[in-house]
Amino acid sequence: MKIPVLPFVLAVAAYPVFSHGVNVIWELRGDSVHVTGSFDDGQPMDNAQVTVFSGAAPSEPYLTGVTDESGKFSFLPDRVESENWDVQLRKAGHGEIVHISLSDAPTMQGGHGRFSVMQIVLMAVCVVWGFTGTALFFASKREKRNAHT
Amino acid sequence: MSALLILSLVVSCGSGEADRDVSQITDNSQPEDAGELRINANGEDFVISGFVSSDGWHITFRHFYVTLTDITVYQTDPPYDPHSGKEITGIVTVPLDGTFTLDLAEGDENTEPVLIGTLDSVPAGHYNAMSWTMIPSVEGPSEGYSIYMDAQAEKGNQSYNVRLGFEDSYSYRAGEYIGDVRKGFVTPGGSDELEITFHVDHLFGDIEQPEDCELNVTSLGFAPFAELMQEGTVEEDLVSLLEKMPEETYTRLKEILPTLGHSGEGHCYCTVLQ
Repeated sequence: MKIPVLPFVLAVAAYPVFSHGVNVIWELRGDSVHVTGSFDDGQPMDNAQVTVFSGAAPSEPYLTGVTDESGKFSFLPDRVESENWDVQLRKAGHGEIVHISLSDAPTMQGGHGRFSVMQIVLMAVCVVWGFTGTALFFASKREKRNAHT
Repeated sequence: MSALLILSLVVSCGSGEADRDVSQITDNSQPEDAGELRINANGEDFVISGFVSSDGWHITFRHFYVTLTDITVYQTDPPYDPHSGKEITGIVTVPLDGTFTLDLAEGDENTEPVLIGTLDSVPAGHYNAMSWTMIPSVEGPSEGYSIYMDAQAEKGNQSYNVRLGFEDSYSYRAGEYIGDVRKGFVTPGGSDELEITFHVDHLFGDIEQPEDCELNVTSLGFAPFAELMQEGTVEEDLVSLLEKMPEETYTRLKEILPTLGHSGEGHCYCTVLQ
């Protein structure tokens, strides 16, 4: 049933509420992605349904599984297929999806860190500055040495 | 010394996120590579087929009305995180115009979710965020209420007519739909769907879940409403419940109601509008 839009006086006072839910965290160890799910009350999402999606085909499951008794699940992403992976955890009507960019993952054991443009520029400036300072230092010594000759 | 200086400057820059271009554009054009996106509402089997509350009341719904407006779908990058509570900023933003009062109890277990509306020509891409507002209806059987349920509650030899209406308004921001199938992928000339989902088990609990699970610990069950029965009927709204319910129970009810709205099993950031 569609009814006409009528003016409503809303938002005189508003306060936010967040539906109770789940928390999912992930980390890259070596080449493996490790995902951990828990409910808001801290209980692990044990035996939760896990669906992994590759960035190359994000609407189709890449693999499925279940979390262990600690709410943990691990998989080995194929970096040739994609650097981006989405992992969905679901249990008892609660679910969450996390978006994983392997390129942006913190550098850990075997992880592949990536520098920003700003970082690269600063590193270049510092290197040039370092070489220049070193050259000036020796040039200064040579001038002093010459001054004594 | 130079090496130390380099290291300290690199560390101070943090990760590579700082210089990411966060500028966003809104594209509401209808390009040739557009597709169709249907927006559904779903009360799940709890509303369609009935269920048993955490305290053993078998509840079946004759009607379960909700009134929705300001429905908008988004393509976001990075994906919107409802935990952030931030406004949704879409690369593509498409509104579904209108205000809709829907009966989520229509049909049976074989019925498709209730179609709210169809966006005939939206830019292709992944619609991974959605927002909507739930407001009181201005006409019909649910007039004055954003949620209105007409149900039967039975336990042992007790059988009550239940008519509960809730007047408050709620604004929701959801991330990606979470469910059996990933949704919201519109391909050129193709069609997909998104869903606004209502979890009524958050209010009454679910006897099929463990007694000590968070859902059943935080829900009210049906007993607090059954205690208000008069002549075989429980007919209340938030105004009357404020007077009749114990303060703690009423406070919990007000905390639970915003949590009914989801996108599939994906949770939302909700603002209660008063």
